[in-house]
This record gives sequence, C-alpha cells and structure tokens, in this order.
Amino acid sequence: MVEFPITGDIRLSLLVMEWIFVITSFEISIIFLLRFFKQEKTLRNLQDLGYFSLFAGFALMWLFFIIGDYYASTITETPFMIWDIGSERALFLNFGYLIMIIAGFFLLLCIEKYNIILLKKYLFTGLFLICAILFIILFFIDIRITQPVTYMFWGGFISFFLLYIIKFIKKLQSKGLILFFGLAFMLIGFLFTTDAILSIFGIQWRLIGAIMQLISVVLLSYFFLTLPPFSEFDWEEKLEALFLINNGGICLYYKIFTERKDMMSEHLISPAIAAINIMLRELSETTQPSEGFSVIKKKNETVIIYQGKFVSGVLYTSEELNLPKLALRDFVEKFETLYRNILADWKGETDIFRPAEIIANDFFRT
Amino acid sequence: MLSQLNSVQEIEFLLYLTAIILGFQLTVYFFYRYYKNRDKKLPLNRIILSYGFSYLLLISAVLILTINRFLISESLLKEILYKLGYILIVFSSTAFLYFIIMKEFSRVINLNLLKLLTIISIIPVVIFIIFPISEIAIILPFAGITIICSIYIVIFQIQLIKTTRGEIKQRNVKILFGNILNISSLFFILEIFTNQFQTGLIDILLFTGIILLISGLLIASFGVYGFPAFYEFRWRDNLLRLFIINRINNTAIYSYDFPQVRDKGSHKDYKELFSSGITGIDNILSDISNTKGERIHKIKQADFLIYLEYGSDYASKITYSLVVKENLKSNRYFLRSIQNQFENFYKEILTGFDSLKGSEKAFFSSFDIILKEIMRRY
Repeated sequence: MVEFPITGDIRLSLLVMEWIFVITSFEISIIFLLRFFKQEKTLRNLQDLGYFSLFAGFALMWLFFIIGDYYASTITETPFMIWDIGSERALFLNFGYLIMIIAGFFLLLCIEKYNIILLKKYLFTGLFLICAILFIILFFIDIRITQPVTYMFWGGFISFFLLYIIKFIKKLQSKGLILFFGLAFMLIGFLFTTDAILSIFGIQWRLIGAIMQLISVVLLSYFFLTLPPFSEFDWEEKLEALFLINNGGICLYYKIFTERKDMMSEHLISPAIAAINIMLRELSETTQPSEGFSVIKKKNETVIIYQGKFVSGVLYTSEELNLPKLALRDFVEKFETLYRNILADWKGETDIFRPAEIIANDFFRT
Repeated sequence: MLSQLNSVQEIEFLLYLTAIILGFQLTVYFFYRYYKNRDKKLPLNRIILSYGFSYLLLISAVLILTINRFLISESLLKEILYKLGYILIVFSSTAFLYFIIMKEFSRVINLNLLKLLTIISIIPVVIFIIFPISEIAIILPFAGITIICSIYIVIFQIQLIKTTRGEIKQRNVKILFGNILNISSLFFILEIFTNQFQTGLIDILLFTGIILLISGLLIASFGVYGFPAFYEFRWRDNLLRLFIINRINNTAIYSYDFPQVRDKGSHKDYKELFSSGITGIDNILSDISNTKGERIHKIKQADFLIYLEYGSDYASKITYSLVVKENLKSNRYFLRSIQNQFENFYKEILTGFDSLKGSEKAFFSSFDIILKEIMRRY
C-alpha cells in the first residue's frame, strides 16, 4: 500500500520528474496559445486553442496531483468542508480530474466544430459533456467516488483519437504512428500513476509513469504542431472553381477544380460577381472597394470573395473553411504584386496571365 | 550528505528548477540560432554566441548554487560548490565580454576598455579561490568588479540598439530587458547578498528573485526567437546599385538605385551598358583562361566592387549583380537573400521566361516591394 503524502528517498526525484512534466506541458500549451493569437483575427481556427486547452489541462491536472500527493493530508475528516466525509488529498485530486475533463471537452469541441469523427457532429463533445456533468454531480455528493468517471474520460479520449487515426490513416501516414505511440505512452504512463497500480507494483512505478507521460507530451505536441487543422485536412478536395476578376468586371483568369454542370460561363460569372460586389458595397454603405473577404453561403456551396486593390478573387467551395480563404488571399495578393504594372495599363490581352495557372496550382495544391 | 527539505524550501527548489529548465532551453536556442547563421560567416553573429555562452555559464551557476543551497549539507562540499557557482557567474560576464572583442564592435564600444575589463573581470575568480565564502568583507568589493562588468554589458547592449535598425533592433531591445531582469535577480538570490538580511526576509527576496529570473529568461526567449542574420553595421550605407540581368539578351530585367547614388544620376544607357559589360567581361575572361564553366563572383574596381551571383534551374538565365563601395560579407549575403526572394517570388514567371516577350520589366518592377521588405528585416 502506498502512503500519501509521498515520503522517503524517492520523494524528491519523483517530485522533480513530475515538475519537469508540468513545466514542459505548460510551455507547450503556451506555444499553441501564441500560435492561435498569431493567426489573423478573422481567419482564426479554434484548433490551436483546443491544443492549448489540452496541454494546459495536463499541466494543471498534474499541478493539483502534486499538491494532493506531496503536500495535502490524507486524513479522512467528517465532515469535510461541504461534504459529509473527505480529505484534502481527495479534494485536490478531484480538482485535477475536473480540469482535465473540462480541457478534454474543450479540445473535442474545437475539433468537432469543424469535423464529424463518428456518426454525427459533436457526438464526442456531447459524451464528454455528460461525463463532466456526471463528474460534477458525483463531486458534490462524495469526492471519494469520482475516479471511475475519469476512466470513462480516458476511454473516450483514447477512442476518439483511435477513430481519428482510422479516419485519416492515409493522410496521416507515418505521423499516425507518432500519434499512436504518443497516446499509448500517455495511457500507460497515466495507469502507472494511479493508486490501484501503485498499490500493486510500488511507488517507483510512478516515476516510470511520469517519464512515459513526459515522452508522450513531447510526441503529441510534435504531432499537433506539424498537423494542418483537422477540419481542413482535405480542403483541396472541397474546392470547386476559382475566378479572378478586375474592377471593371472582366475575368482575367479562371480555373475549374471539379466539373460542375450548373456552372455558367466565366464571361457571365464575372459581371455577375462584379454586380454582387457592388451590391454588397451598397449594402454596407461603402462606396469604394474595401479590401477583405465576403462570404456568401448556400446549402452545400460557399462563395468566398476576396477584394484586393485591383482584382477580386472568387472561390467556390463546398464548405466554408479557413485554409481556402488564406490561399485565395495569398493568391490575389501575389497576382496583384506580380501584375501591378501590367494591370495599370492592361490592353485586354489574356495571354499575359498564363503564369497565373502555375501560381494557382501552387497555392491551391492542385 | 543530502538535506531534507521542508515544504517552503521544496517549493523554492521547484521554482529554481523552472528557471533552470527555461535557462537551458534558452541557451540551446542561442546556440541553435548561431549554428543556423554560421555558414554565412557574418562577424556580428558572434553576439549570439556571446549570449549563448554567457547564459550557459550563468544557468549552470544557478543549478550548482541551487543544489548546494537545498540539497548539500556537508560543509567542505558546500564550500567547494559555492566557489564553483560564483566562479561560473564571474565567467559568465567574462565570456560575454571576450566574445564581443571584435573590430566590428569598435563602432559601438571602446575596444581597449573592453579588453581591459575582460582581463579585470577574472580577478574575482582568484579571490573566490583563495578566500572562504564566509569572508564577505573581502569578497564583496571584488564581486563589485563583476557588477561593473555587467553594467558595461548593459551599456554595450544599449549602444548596439542605438546603432541597429528594424527587426534586429526590436529583438535586441527584448534581450536587453531580459538581461537587466536576470542581472537584477542575482541580487535577490545569491547568498553573498541575501545573507545580509534577516531570515524572514530571505524567503521574500528569494521568491522575488526567482520571479525576476523567470521573467527575464522568458523575455530574452522572445527576443532570440527567429533572430535574423546580423549584418555588419555599414552594410546599408555600402550599397550602390542592384542589377538583375537576363544573360541571354544582356538586358537588365530589374534594377534599383540605393539612396547613396539615387540623386547622383548616371548615363541614360548605363543599365544596358552595365548588363552587357558584365556578361561581356565574363565571356572574355572565360575565353582567355579557357574556363567556360567557372563564373566570376567578384569584380573590384578603384572605388567600387561588384558582387555576382547566378541563378540555377528555372532561373539559370539570370545574373544578380550588386554594386557596393567596399568588401563586406553582409552585402554578399544580402545579394543571396535577394536571389532567393526573387527566384521564390517569380518562380512561375521564370519557368516560362521565354514567353514574356518584352514584358519582363513590367513584371519584375514589382520587386521593389519585396526588396524594401528585405531591407526592413535586417
């Protein structure tokens, strides 16, 4: 049986190891937070915020575990604060569990906002919400009986990412292995730190568990840092057509990504888009073309318009996503910089815009 | 030999550990930045190495002193570790001063004074070796030498900020603030200073010191993150003209006059003459010495110098030529940056270069915007 607070020769080395784990997780969470704030405000994807929540949640959970296991009393008191029975250690451990469940819920919310992993949108988020509510109810009834809910949480968490690996196995390639090992280390490492395992194998296994979790945090952070947003994994497949129209309503360049029967000729689309642009300007009571995005959404179709200084880019997609918006803006900006002097004195020859095809292929990865 | 810690000491120890982890990460990042820019052989990049060594020694000292303060109880070992820790702190400032002894820095600091201070900065080491740490009355005045050296380092950094521009300046400001906080933190955490206060006050000083140290390290980290190559101070004033030449028809597809020559004016056919001249010189020399595959990389004239770089793959018809006043490694690297940016930005156009049919100048004149951006970065 392991005694808490942890004492003896192993206390300091274990504490140091777990503290390093807390610091590393916290640093990684800050990297994701900075990455989130570095994104352009209008094009921000919540995914980085979700990762921040996950790693900050790990760090805070372990901070509470450290307080609970090294500095809090295990003596059961009756009554204990608002409960009939309880201990300081149980209270701090519960704070840790609760924070991790909330962090996991927030991560899934950020991922499922853009993607369906199983059956329907927000399925896992809903399950985690139930898990969190159940935990809070049990927490107020008796703080000693909440631990089984955390097993549900870890089960759900691991299942979610396993389904994710299966769904995106082709796109993930070798990175899928990093995710798999990261999760496996996390799960096994966490198991080695549970009271049940420690009472069987001894406290020294907690050190191995902490090391495994540290490795897992590094692996998972590498995986998440190098991964494009979940929702936009296959954004290229959601592109339908691209048009580049000058301020006079003339189509300078167009590209059809998927053959659509109902797409009218580019000669008709250009003035139509120009007219929409004028109408939008009138509606927003701005007489001059102002640079930026307009998004028009229909069922199963989104029209993204990026108004530059000299030209407007129009992108048809099957979903409203951020990466195509970024690609469209970069494409328009590069086109304008490249053709700045030519556009100022353009005499109508379209051959000159032929290199735009290579630029479009480059930006839209086709 | 190992001490048992109470809860407060344990928390202090963990906070120190946080600073040590951050410090070593910062040190590794300084070395990584230096290593990344090493092949450019820009002399001022040595400042990154100076910071790297200085932080390595400082954080190693903090590690040794932390272990000593919290974990070691055996008196002889304690004395040895104290001496070692303080010596490393002294060497931390010595290392910084030593690495910045360079002709290039004479523009911001007096090199003779710098050399003198570097030598004097070692004196406290001798004192730490000879006298026991408990002899505060002897040690403190000599520790003052290290304080003077640290102040001199701060003055150097301020001068450096005044001399630099753009991103380098912004990053140096952050590193300066980080350094000031780190140096200040030492007065709160080193026992030769804190032992002069009452026991109750020492814990408050320690917590204050550790917060200052962590804050300083974080600010310095933001400063060094993405630190660009450090060009020589005169690199901007040294620039005269830039030509990007189509080697096939010997015409300048892009040219830029830097401020030093902008108002002076030149012969109206100068650009054409220059482009043909450069290609002509290259061809004649290749014929004379029968070295067709070899390219000219530098031409030196009486009062100017021409750097040449050549495109490859889809840009194989392009020659990049930078006219400068004198030979500076930074300008060579600047020309390579121009080449990279030009080839990246016009990749699609250069791929179909032959089909441009006379509209080259209209296309490439937009390079002005990118050139100004490159100038702003350094």
